[in-house]
Parts: sequence; structure tokens; C-alpha cells
Amino acid sequence: MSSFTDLGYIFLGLSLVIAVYACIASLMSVRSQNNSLRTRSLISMYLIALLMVSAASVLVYSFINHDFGLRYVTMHSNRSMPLYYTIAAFYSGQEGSLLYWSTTLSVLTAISLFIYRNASYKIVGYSTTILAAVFIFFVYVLVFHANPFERLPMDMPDGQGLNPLLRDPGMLIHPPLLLAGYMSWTIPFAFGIAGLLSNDIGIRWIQLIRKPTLVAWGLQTGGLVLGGWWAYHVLGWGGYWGWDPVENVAFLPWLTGTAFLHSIMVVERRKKLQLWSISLLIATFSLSIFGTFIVRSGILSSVHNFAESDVGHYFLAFFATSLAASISLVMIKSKSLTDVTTFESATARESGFLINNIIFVSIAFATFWGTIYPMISEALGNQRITVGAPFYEKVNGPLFLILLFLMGIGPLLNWSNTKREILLQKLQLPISVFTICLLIGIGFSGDIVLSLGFSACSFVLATILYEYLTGAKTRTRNSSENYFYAVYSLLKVDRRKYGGYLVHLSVVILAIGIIGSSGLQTHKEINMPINSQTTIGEYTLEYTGSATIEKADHTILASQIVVSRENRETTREMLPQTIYYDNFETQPTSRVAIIPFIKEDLYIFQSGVDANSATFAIFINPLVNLVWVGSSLMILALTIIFWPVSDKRKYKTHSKSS
Amino acid sequence: MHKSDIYTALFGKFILSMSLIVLLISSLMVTSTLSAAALEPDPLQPKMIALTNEARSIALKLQCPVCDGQSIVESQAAVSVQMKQKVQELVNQGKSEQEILDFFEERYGMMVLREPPYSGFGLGAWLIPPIVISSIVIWFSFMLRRKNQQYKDQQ
Repeated sequence: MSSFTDLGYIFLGLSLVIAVYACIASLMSVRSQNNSLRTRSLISMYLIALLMVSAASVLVYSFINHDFGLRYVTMHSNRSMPLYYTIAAFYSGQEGSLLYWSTTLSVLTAISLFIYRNASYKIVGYSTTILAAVFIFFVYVLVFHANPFERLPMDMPDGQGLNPLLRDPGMLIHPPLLLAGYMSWTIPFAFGIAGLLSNDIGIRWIQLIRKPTLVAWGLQTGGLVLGGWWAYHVLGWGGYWGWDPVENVAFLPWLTGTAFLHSIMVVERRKKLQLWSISLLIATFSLSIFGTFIVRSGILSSVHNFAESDVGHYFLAFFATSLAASISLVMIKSKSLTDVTTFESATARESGFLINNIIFVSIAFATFWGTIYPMISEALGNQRITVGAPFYEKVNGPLFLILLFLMGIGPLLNWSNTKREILLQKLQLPISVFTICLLIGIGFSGDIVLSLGFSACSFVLATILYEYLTGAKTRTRNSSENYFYAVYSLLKVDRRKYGGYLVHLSVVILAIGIIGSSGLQTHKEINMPINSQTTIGEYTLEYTGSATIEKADHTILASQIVVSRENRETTREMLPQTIYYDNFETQPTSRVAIIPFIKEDLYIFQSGVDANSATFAIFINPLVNLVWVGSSLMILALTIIFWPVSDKRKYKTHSKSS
Repeated sequence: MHKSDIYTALFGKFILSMSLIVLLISSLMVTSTLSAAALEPDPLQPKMIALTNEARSIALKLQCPVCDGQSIVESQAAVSVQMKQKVQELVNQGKSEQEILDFFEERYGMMVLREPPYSGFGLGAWLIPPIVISSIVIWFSFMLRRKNQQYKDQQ
């Protein structure tokens, strides 16, 4: 029996065959310098993107069409789900998310290869080979072990529906962004290894690899932030980051990737740390494969779960093979790569970058270790053990603090050497700001850790301001620009440097938000009879009753709380809810009620309701807005850095220099 | 005023008033459903007790046995609810934090502690990161010193 969805499977099979061809052809084209073979391999990659998008469209179409003859559609959707969740169900299961992963990879591959098609002959050839190889693995798994187009023996009347935890607006964007983040590290990895294979790790290589790296970094950052946003609004424990294993594995490639973004600056300017940077890139790619694998294999809940999913074994094999191959390649080529070699001075900017890298890698290692330790313990036949948030806070907390200080010192260092007197002079302002903040903080609160955190933020703020202001001052002196315009044109002229500071600025804002909301949080858990009142902070809350509301495929249990604020006339209403989806009655999900005030969020989670009382967890989360402001600004700053320099200006600078 | 401008203005007002009416009706509907459905306790929702701050800080150190990566405070699973009630009960009896944690470790095993213990196999979680991190630092400073020495010798 044939049906429309078989077409999707045919597309997958075809792209697998073409990918094998492209992989071999591109490799041969580099060896034989055969231009037409190279063109054909590039065209194959574009064709694959087209086929994969078609395959994905077939799956989306069958979701919209409620084709309950398809196993995957039946497992993850039903007739009463709204359209947007029906479409989002596409990436909610293993098969679909793998299809999503490989489709986005094929599209991003096609775009990058198209943009860089005229770049270094060898690098483009080799990267086509590597990209095709990674793609072959994923499509192989899709075709032979996780076929999303598998049909049931007969059509079902209705499907099961989407997992309730995924039924949230945040879930429409968070998983696809996170998966895209994992996926997108493949591009810089392929370019990196291709550079290694063609012995071409110079300026051209960095120009090639910088933008794909920024794209991957931006996607990964976006995915992490949205994950936090979702956790904050749905999970109801008053926070956004819980050092949950799934969060950790997504954080790992971000950490090593951030280290890589910094280390390639040393490669670019000083031709040092080549070996180290390549290793970071390999680590980042391997960790994103590890992340995809861990999320998809079920190994997190128990090592024994892992045995049940055979896809897990393939991932493990792929992870091990690609890691082993990359490491041996690096070892073969290590003679021609520069390493730490000579660092003229401990106060050189490259030393700052090196320390930055060591700390990022240390955080990554500690997080990695904490995440896999329970599995090691279980595999060794020991008791099951848990490594939770308290561990990460204790181990990573101090490291993040060092990183924060470094962010304040690093930009003040010069390449190759900084005279001690000059450094001390530049540090005067930041150090005095830091000392004043620390003294005030300890004096007022007595909390040393908190004060240290906030003062470290002020230290970095002072440095960034100092850099901007001195830069603007030189500009106003040399031209007729006024101060504000000078700050703006700094961003325009040296977009990488000052855009980078903008990213640092957003990190500081984010850090203030994190320190404030975790360190100054007020919490109260209370059982309230109807029409009773309670106060928290400057708010008075009155619980006026609860009600159930029947909807098409779910039931909402909502409570009404009237909030009044000290010295304010107006009252506001809050409706924390619990939602029971049909077919998933034992897995209720919550909608937290949040009123965002400027300085803090009032956050209410409904933890239980009975005949004439209800239980709530009430939080005041100070400065939490800064977490969202900081992370949005980070993405914005990245866009500024990424924005292409117009051809006109390129021409101008070119004609000036010649 | 041009005639068509008047029509545009009228049309704008029409749209505005229509949307106000829709908004009004929908908000009325929401409030009416809320007040109409009398308070019906949900049998599915496990009965909860409010945790005191002390009980909560202890509960945050206990892992939900049936869910990934959540403490019993965050989890709504039935077993977590029971565990929370037990924590509160033990706190009320005046038990110390360590006694309460030991109580749960005895029943659910080491995995119930979110912070690995500083003894036995849990020690591995704590010791390995500092060891590895400090060896990275030592290795780098050693390398740097050696290379710098070589560089000086060559000069």
C-alpha cells in the first residue's frame, strides 16, 4: 500500500544517496583539483537541502492533515489541539527532532557553502566532505532506525496528543532554537577541520570561520535564554536555571564555544594558540553531539533506559568515532600548529584570553563531570547518586566570579605586553568603584558573597564605561563630533571591539539580574482559606476563590488573587492556574501568575486547591527583569557585530589604505 | 476636510468601538465562567501543605525520586508531595537538617540527596573537578615557563 507520506521517506532515502556521492566527490575534487566534480558536489549539497525541506514539509503536512495512519503523528498530536501546537508537535518526539536537526543542518550547510563557494579551494572541498559525512550519519539513523514516516497497520481515529509540558508558547520556539544551536556548531567544526586538513589556519581561515561561529553562538544563547524563560513561567519554583542535566548539556557547548570565540582572536592577532583553538572547536562540536544524544537517548533518567533505545548506541558510536578521528587528526598535524609558545608577559592581552579560556574550560569540565557522574556511579554498580544544583553553585560560583573580574581587566591589556604603570593607571577607576561598592554592600547588608558579586559587576561596568569614554574622547578631539555621536561612531568604526564590549555590558546586566534574583529572593508558601489575606514585601494578597473552566481538550483550575500595593490605590488581579490535558490527567501543568514590576517580579504558583482553601508558593524575585534585558541585549549586540559592513565603507577603507 | 478623510476617520472609530465591545464581551465571559462554576475541588490535585522556610530549604536538598533533575520542592509528583509533608512533619518535631536528610537517605538511598555526600563514592564528584582544574593550570604555567625559557635561550 502506498500513500503520500511514503514520498517523505523517498526524499530521505534520496538525500542519503546523494550525500554519499557528495562526500566522495568533494574529497576527490580536492585531491584531483577537478573543478567540475567540485561544482557537482556543491550542487548535490543544495539539492539535499531541497529534498530535506520537502521531507520535513511532508511530515508537517500530515500533522496538519491529521494523518493518523502515521505512527509519529498519532503519538504526538490529536484533533482538538490548536494548529500551532499541531505544527510544533513536529519536533516533539525523537524521530521528528532528528528530522528537524538534519533538515536545518542541510539548509545551513547549503547557505554557508553557497556564501563561501569562492573561498579557499581546499577548505571548501574538505568542509563539504565533513558536512556531508555528519549529514549521512543523521539521515542514516532517520532512514533505518527512527523513521518518522513509519505507518501503522491501520489508520487510527484520533491521536494521543502532545506532552502537556510542551504545550506552552515558549515551547514553540525554545526546542527548535536549542536544537538549531546544537546543529549549527557543525558548520564551524567542518570549516575548522577542513582548515586543519589543508594546512591553512591563517587569517583567511579565521575570516571564514568567524561568522558561522557567531551564528552558532547566537542560536545557542537564544536557546538557553528561552529555556530559562520557559522554566520561569511554567515550572513554578521561582527560578529560571536549575542545573538540570538537560540544561547542563546545552550549556556545555556554549561554554567551550565562548572560549573558542575568544581564543581565535589570539590566533588572528598573534598566531598563537592554534592547537588549543582547534581543540576547543572539536570539543564544542562533540559536546553538541553529546547534548543531542543525551537529550534523545533517555540515558539521563537511568543507564538502563539507554539500553532500550537503539538510537542511543548509534549516537554513542558516532560521538566516539568523530571525536577519535578529530583528535588523531590534530595529533598528526600538531607539529605545524602553534601552541602556547612564547607569551612575552603575564600582563599581555593574550595571557588574559588564555586565563579566560582556562576558566571557561574549567566550568565546562565541572559541569560535565557533575552531569555524567551519576551515570558513572551507576555503571560501576554503585548506588545511584544525584548531583544537583547545590553542587554546581558551590563549584562553578567562584569560577564565574573570577570570570567576571577578568572581563573587567582583560580589555585594558595590550597585545604582547602592558606596562605595569599604565595598567595600574587604567585600573584606578574600576578598582575605586569596586572598593566603594564592596564597602557599601557589606556595610548595609553584611552579606559578603552578595556584595562581592555586585561589586564585581560594578568593576566591569567601570571598565567598559572607561573604554567607551576614552575612545569617544579621542574621537571628539580629532574630529568635530560631539560626545554622543562619537560613542555611536565608535560602534560603527570598530564594530568588533565596541560591539564586543556591548556583549560584555549585557553579560554584566545579566549577572546583576542573576545575583539579585537568586540572592535576594523572598519566598513564602502558604495555605489560604477563601477571602483571607497575606502580605509579602510591600504587597497584600487576598485569595477570593477558585474555579474550574472546561476547554476543548483541557480543564483549567484557576484561583483568583487580588493584589494591592502599599500606598497605591489600584488593585491588580492574578490568576495562577493548573491545567489538566485530556489523556494526560496525571501530569498537570501549571501557569504561574507573574506581575512584573520594574524592580521585581511578584510570582505566584498554585500548588494545590481544595474545597475552601488553596496553597500557593509566593515569590518576590528582585531584579529578574535584568536577566531578560541582559540576554536580549546580548542577542542585539551580536546582531550589531554580525551586521555586514556595507560595500561602500569597505571600498572607502580600502581606498584609504592603498 | 476632504471627504475621504472623514470616511477614514469614521472607519477608524468604528473599528475601535467594535474592538472595545469585543474586549468587553470577552472579559465578561471570562469573569462569568469564573464565578458561575462553583468551587469544585479537584480530586486529581494532591492535597498540599505549606512549607515553612526552614522546611523548604531542607526540601531543596532532596531530589524527587521519579523525575529528572528536580528537587521535591519543584516537583508536583505524588511522592514529592508526600516527602514534602514528611519534611515539614520532621521539622515540626524539631529534627535537625542532618537528621532529616539521613532519614530520607536511609529510605530512598543516596540518590535522594541533591548534593553528593563528602564521603565514599560521593567524594569523587567533589574531588575530581578541583584536581583536573588545578592540573590544567599547572600544566599551562609549566609549558609557558619552559617555552619562554627556550625563547630566551635562543635569543
